[in-house]
Amino acid sequence: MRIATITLAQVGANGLSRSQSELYRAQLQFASGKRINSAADDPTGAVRAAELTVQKDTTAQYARNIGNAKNIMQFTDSVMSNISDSVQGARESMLQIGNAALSTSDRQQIALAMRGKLDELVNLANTQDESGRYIFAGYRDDTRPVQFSGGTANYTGDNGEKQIDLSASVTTTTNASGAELFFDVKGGNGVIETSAATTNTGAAKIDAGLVTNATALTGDSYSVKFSVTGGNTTYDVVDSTTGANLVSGAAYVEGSQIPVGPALSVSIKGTPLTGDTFSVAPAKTRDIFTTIRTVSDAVDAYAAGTINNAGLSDALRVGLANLDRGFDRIEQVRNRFGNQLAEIDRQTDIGTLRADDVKARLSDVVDLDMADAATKLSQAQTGYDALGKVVASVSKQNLFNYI
Amino acid sequence: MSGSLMSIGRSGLNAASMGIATTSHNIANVNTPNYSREQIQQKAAVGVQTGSSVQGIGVDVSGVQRSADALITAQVNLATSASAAATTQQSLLNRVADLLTQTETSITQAGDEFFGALQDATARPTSEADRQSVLSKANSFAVRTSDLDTQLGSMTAEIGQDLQTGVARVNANAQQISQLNDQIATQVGAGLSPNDLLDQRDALVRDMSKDIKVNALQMPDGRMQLFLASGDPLVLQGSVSKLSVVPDSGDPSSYAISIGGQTTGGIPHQLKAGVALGGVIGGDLLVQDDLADARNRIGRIAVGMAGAFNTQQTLGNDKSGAAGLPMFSTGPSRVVALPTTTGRVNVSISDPTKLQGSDYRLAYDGSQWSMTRLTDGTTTTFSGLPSPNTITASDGIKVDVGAIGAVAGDVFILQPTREAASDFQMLLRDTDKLASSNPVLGQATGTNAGTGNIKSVMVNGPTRDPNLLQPVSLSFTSATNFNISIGGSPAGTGALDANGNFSLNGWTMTMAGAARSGDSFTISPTLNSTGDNRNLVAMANVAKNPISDGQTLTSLNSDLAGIVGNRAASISVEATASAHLLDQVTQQEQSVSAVNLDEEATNLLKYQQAYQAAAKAISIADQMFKTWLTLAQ
Repeated sequence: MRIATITLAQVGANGLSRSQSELYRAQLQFASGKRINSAADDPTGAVRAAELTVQKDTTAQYARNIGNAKNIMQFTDSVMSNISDSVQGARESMLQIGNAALSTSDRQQIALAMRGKLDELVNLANTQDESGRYIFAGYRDDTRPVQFSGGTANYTGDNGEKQIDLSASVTTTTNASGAELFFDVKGGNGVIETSAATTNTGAAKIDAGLVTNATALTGDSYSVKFSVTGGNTTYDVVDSTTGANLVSGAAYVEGSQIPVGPALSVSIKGTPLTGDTFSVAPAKTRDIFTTIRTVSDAVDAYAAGTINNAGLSDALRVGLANLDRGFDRIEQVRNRFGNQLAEIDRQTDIGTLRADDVKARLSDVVDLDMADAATKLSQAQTGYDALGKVVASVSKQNLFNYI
Repeated sequence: MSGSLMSIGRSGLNAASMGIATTSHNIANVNTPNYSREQIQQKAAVGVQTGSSVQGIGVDVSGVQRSADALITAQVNLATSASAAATTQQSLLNRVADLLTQTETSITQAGDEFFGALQDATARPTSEADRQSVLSKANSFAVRTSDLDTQLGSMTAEIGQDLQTGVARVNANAQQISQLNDQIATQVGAGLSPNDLLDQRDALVRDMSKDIKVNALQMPDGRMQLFLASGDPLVLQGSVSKLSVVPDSGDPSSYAISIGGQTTGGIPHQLKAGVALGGVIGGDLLVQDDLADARNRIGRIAVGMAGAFNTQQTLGNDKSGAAGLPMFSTGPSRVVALPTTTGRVNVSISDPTKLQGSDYRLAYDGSQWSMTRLTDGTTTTFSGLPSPNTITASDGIKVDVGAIGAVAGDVFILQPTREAASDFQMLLRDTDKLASSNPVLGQATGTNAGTGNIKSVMVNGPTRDPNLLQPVSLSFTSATNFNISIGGSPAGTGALDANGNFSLNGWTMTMAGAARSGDSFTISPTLNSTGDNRNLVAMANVAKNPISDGQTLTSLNSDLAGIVGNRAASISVEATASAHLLDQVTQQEQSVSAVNLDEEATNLLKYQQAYQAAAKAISIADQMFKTWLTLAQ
């Protein structure tokens, strides 16, 4: 092929410029440590990198969410642990008050200590976080959720659940509302509750009742009323919801099961007097605050002589049962927190793995393979040097040099 | 005898000096672009009969021939156009790809940060700092999106400038080519070979090929006719058509090239769409389509995000307990009426979630309307209009065709999302206005015997039910059935579906656990719910949910960047290939036409020797003549 002189020059110039731009790119890559410095380097790679960057950011965001959830939940859990301790303290006080060997004033002393625990519990239930938000108030977190009015504790929060995403598919509830933790708790044995009328004068005591089949329960309330005539103790059972007389004048046998309704019976021990009444009703919600307050009030009433020994003992029985239900609930919620925190840890691990994976993939796409790049750079350099020499020598070669 | 010897020698001298002159001309033009090397054509002069033999009488130079190959020249011109078109597209598309993928400009990044701020706020819904961060990031998302759109818009303007310069060059070159045509025709008519004029004309055509692809037709009179790729004649005998840059009649935000006879006074008309014109002009025009598509897609993202967030704002409550206000606003949809159209229509977006990011061609034939989606050519027809005078297309757009009555033959181009991002704005300025909470809350009544609880109450969109905030209570008569009371008055019965869901008054509640007969629940306005983060969670979830045509923000962004990226990648391959091809054919052309100095040096020596030899022949003839004179004395 015939080669024109201008072709030689152009080929040389083109080669040098190509080689120079290769050198430039290699240098730029070394300077930034990245293989892709603009979309022009590798348009599809740049798009892939942008996608992976989104994934990286999203994983980092979930890691931040996980950190937030963990902080909030660990703080709440530590408060709940204190609550649990205080409830245990109150429970011990109740057991001590039941000790028949104690004097009335001793009992009052213990009741006072129990009132102290109650104040502690109310304060704990009204715990605020670092930004002054009540942690057990549900969504109404700027209102003090637990307050006493008379002898009853009221909850002014709601049952709102605050949720945080731990990953694209896993969400966790980071709070426990006062409703869940304290107030939506059934007393008695969780299904029914029994009680002695405060006006009772006899020494008879009722037990917690026996439910043989929870689904057969009607939801009605019942009362058992005693009368003693000529040494014979009999009782009537009335469905206090419908007013129907279920049993009339049945003979009282101490400790025997008295059937009061479908699948429901109670046992009464001790000696009742005429007019003594015991009631059986579906369990109502009983919060620990009111429960403790009620027992403490009962001790005062006992000291004042308003209720007798059996009355105090019934109040203690009911109080302990309700407190245990409340304690169970607190432990349940703590258990939920424990499981959720474990899940959070698991999600942290998964998130870390995913973040590493995304990082590695992003690095594959964007980052410079130093060894490879170094080879390429030295190749480009060698090429450039060689080409420069060739161009220089070719441009010198000319027949005119010899004529 | 010596006379003929002398004249033979003189013809040799002549030929040799012409050879030296031509060689020198070649050497002088070694670096002239498009110069075709020249060679003298010499042949032996026809001899004279002397007796039985024919005596040669010297050499004739019949002309100076130009070494050119019209076929290769045409190939180089084509390759020049192709390479210029590809390079132009490559540099523009790379800029678009950079805008879409680089952290500083990418809306993907801004969207990420916005959703991140929302996620952070779900943990601390009452924190002023977090709420402010949501608004700031929402604002930068909107600003980033409209900036990106503006950048693409200004690239269109730049393309307009580039087209103007390109068209001016083409027009100037066409004029010169036409003038050269006349000069060449005159010389050819006189039997001459106007080599240097031909070179000049080839150089002009080559120069023009950089701007636009032209097909050259050689005429017997030496003239050259030029035609554009669209088939329109640019240079004919005695007429040069003038190109101009005009707003595209189908889309005035884009430019098109119009051609009109300058000397013939023909009516200017826009060049046929869809023909690759080649060169810088062709490349520029093609990238306009990419820019328009990208802007449609960015507009769709803006409309989709605005739709999703405005809905979620409206469904939630702000800090004061009032229904949230819209968070974003977008630019209006645009309608372009073709020049011959007399009617007017208005287009608006009826459902952002169904948008396709396409432009549409809406045509009226006197009885029915047909709407063609321009991205894939799908056509839908609507009849029975103008009553009702609204077309609601399944693509989420609504056209009011009653504005000014259309007549048969009217054509409109609808651009629902083209300008949407250009005016994409974040409207909330007060952190209190961020609708972070859910307006309704479900609660169990404390005396319930069952384990049922209301797990969630979602507010159904896209608009708030007017009865949403009515307090409702559900009194269960079995595990799934209940009596409803609204505002304290009985309002019939209801039942949970298989998933434990029940909807009323624009909300849907989900029951977990088992309710028992006698249990009751209330769904009532959320009060004083500063810590309620449910609507923030719903907003953060927009990241995971489809916002338009079943696609999430991330997938819409990836699609956009992917389409541009792939175009840039394939055009980059094309640019490399066409540059290589151009190199190859240019070398071929140079191999035929360009000067090789070594060759010229050899020729120079050759002609010098011939000159010296011819001179020697004359000198010998002279000596012979003198010898004869001496003999004659």
